[in-house]
Amino acid sequence: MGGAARGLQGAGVTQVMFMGGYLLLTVALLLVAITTLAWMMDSWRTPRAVGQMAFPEPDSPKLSFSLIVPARHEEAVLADTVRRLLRQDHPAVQVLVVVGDDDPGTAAVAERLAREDGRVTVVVDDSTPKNKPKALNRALPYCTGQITGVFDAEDEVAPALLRHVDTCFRVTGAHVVQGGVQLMNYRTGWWALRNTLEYFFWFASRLHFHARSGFIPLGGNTVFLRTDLLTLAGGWDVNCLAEDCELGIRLSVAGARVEVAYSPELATREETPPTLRGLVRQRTRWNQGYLQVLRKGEWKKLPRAKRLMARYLLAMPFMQALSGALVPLSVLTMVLLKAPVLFVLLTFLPLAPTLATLVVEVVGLAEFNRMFALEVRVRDYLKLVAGSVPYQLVLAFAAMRASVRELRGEHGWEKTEHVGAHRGELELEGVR
Amino acid sequence: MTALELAPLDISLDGPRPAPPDPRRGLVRRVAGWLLGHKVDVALVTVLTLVGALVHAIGMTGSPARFDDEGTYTAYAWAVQNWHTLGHYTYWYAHPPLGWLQISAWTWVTDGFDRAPYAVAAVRELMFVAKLVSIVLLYGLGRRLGFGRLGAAAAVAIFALSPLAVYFTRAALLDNIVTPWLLAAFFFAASPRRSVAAAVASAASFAVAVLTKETALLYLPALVLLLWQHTDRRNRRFTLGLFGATFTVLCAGYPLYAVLKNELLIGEGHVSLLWAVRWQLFERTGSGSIFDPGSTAHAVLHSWLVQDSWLPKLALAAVVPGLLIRRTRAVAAAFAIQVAQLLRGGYLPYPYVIAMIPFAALTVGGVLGWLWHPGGAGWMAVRWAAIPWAAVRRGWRACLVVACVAAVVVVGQAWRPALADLRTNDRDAGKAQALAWVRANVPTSAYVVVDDAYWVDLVRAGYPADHVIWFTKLDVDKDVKLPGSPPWKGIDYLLLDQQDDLSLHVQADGKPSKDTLRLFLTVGEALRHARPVARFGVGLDSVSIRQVVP
Repeated sequence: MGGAARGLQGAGVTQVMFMGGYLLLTVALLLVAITTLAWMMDSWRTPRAVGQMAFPEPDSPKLSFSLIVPARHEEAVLADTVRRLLRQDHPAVQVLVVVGDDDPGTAAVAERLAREDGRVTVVVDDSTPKNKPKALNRALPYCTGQITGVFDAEDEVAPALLRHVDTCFRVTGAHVVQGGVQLMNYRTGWWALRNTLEYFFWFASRLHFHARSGFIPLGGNTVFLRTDLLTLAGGWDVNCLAEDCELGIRLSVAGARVEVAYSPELATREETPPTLRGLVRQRTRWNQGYLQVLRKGEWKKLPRAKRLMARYLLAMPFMQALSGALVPLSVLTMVLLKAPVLFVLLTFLPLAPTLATLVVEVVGLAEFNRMFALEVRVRDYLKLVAGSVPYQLVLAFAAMRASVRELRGEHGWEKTEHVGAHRGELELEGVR
Repeated sequence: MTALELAPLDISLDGPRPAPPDPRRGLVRRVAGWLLGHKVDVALVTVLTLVGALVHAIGMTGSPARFDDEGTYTAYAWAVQNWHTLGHYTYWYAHPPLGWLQISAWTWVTDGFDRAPYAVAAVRELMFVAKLVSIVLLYGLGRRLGFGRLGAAAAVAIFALSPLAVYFTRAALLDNIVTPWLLAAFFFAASPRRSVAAAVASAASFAVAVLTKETALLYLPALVLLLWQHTDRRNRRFTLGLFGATFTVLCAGYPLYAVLKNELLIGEGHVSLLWAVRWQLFERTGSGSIFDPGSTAHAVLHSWLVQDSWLPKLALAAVVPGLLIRRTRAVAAAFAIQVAQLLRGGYLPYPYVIAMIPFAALTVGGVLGWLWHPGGAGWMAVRWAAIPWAAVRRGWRACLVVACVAAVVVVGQAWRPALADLRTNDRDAGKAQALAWVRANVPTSAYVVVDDAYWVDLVRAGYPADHVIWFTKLDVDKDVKLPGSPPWKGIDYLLLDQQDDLSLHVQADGKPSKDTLRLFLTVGEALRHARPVARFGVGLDSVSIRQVVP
């Protein structure tokens, strides 16, 4: 405090302007950090909220399901995934496998599955270039179930999931039910642990908040929609890199009721991208997809309060990129700028929620460990803490990359490859 | 589970959607609904606050007489407001600065120094506000802890009416700013929803309390106990984790400030946080044992009991049952910690009792509430509902009513004259006369060594700030400069009250003792060459003006 005001008087106009701008940025960062933290732990805000996290208890099934599985160069994992889907303890299940006309390997696996079980239908996608929303739209006319669900080719789906979703639709009167997706191979690399935990917080907590606030970007799989609504909406947007998010926004605008449920034993198990490079690509695609949705402007039809939320959420990649750029800048200013103590003290403010977030992440890992009965060790907690800054930098890099690609008009689809790291080696052998 | 099949699709993608309800109207209705749902409590707390406000406010500038500590925080706040520095002398980390930052916000926003009869009185207005907030929080906390209306109201009544509480909560001290923040921390920790947000609010309030006066840290174990009692297994990890994170991060702002000023570590030529902490913890002269009749601690304790011996007696009687009963355990623990600290010896400041009062009141009120409606006392749980004879229950409660009425009569008799004194006796009159005398008889060019309670008033009256010198800063602060050589010859007048004389070890005849000359070189020499020119007030509130004749 000492002489802060006097220091300001002594400073030049440029410095005052610089400090003003910097403080504004600081406040923005503070807001981002606080909201991120609040949403991240939304499901634990009260004991009552914790009780609302899971699926309702299932009764006897009444509805029928069509499950779309787009598969592209997935011969390694597809058979296992589909066989698991067919083992659902639900009586009315149709599985639609979408394969490309240029992918004979995967097509052969799909055909074999269709011969084995009459509930499987193969849909051939002959569009060019190919992407996930196009594949989904190809399958939509063949969906005969009242509910359409989406799964990825590498998903490990719990056999009791559909019965729970069935009940959830009927008890809540929802138009859309989003189930949990959980990465499991948290020991694959230093970033895999953080990636895993990100999924945990996203599906167990943050999506619940978005569903409650009536504005929700849906997930890419384990998402269930009323087929009549989906048909009415004309399916997915084929030009969007985040077709799941885009559909969620369009349905939010229409006032659809979305129910989110997360029970550890029912979460769809997935794998992290096999390499850090893969993670950056995946994240770039998502971020760019968000920016596309932002530009498309469908969200502008929302009421005012939700509009603000939409703008904020969709622009998040930009903010992340910005905060990434701010790190070297703040280091530079700390060395170069002789600022009043009060000013410097204020610039430390965003650090407070950031540190609190770290604590919540540690607690979250403990909760994840408990819910999934894992054997998380002290080493993992240390890795989690140590990986905080590098992971933020990776995310900021992906965000910057997405911003640049979107500005340059590069809309290519960088697909995530799957090797089945979340399944045991034995199971992989069994597939072959 | 009524829906058997899928209902027909009830939305379209382009049709008009029902307008959402106006959130503001919803808020108004919610607040109104809440007030209606709690009308008895609202009425009760309104009456209690009103009574507390009257008892506190009538005569608050006249009693207690302004004293040195009050003046110090007043001067700090004045310096923040006018000089944008953390104090009227070099800030040396004696306390974290948030307390007088709050005071300065109050005096700045309300233009307090221009309006109040004297500078310290402007700060006492904030103490009044703090008192009202404390009363409401105290009642709310009592209710949240399950004391019932009787217990909560009793706690508030004790807090608002005990002469000991009234006397000390009027004084312009950091401890009185700590009280509402501390009560808020306890209030939020006892949230019935057991939400993470409440835990964060509790941690933030507690951090403000600690940054207002570091001694609030003593209450941490009691607060954590309360939080533990009021958290749920399902989200306890998150609640406690964020409580700890919030509290630590906010408190870290204080050492961070020191780091940025390069004043964290002890070094040559500058003040430092670590030195201040070391001095507070280890080097400060203790006040002796409270059981030693000759000790300062004993005198301080005596000064409290003179005001009111009933509150301490009742609280000490209630503390053991308070610790056994689950619902009062945390507040009784808070009180017990302070009592243990008192018994331990060490430095005992005069206003130490302030922080004890609300928890003493809560302990008494809580135990009373338990007697009225027992249950949940752990191993000594009485299955109240299991007692079959309604007559026993009625008889027990009749006895309680009789005992309460008797207690009110007896305690009321003891409190009445003391409260009347607090309402009508202008103990500050002598201090005011002394100030008027100085302004009339001492030229503004003179160097005056003063009790801090006068510092702001004299500077505002036109005496240059470097000519009005707080007596404790002589020989200590290198920025304090006197024109004489040796320095004491530069002093023209000394304006010190009886308390200052005692702390300077001045003899009964007004002459400096050997200790005075040994410990306070410049003041001691000045006193040796001074002659009394005026004296106002009586007893400990008296103040004398001496002129130095070299």
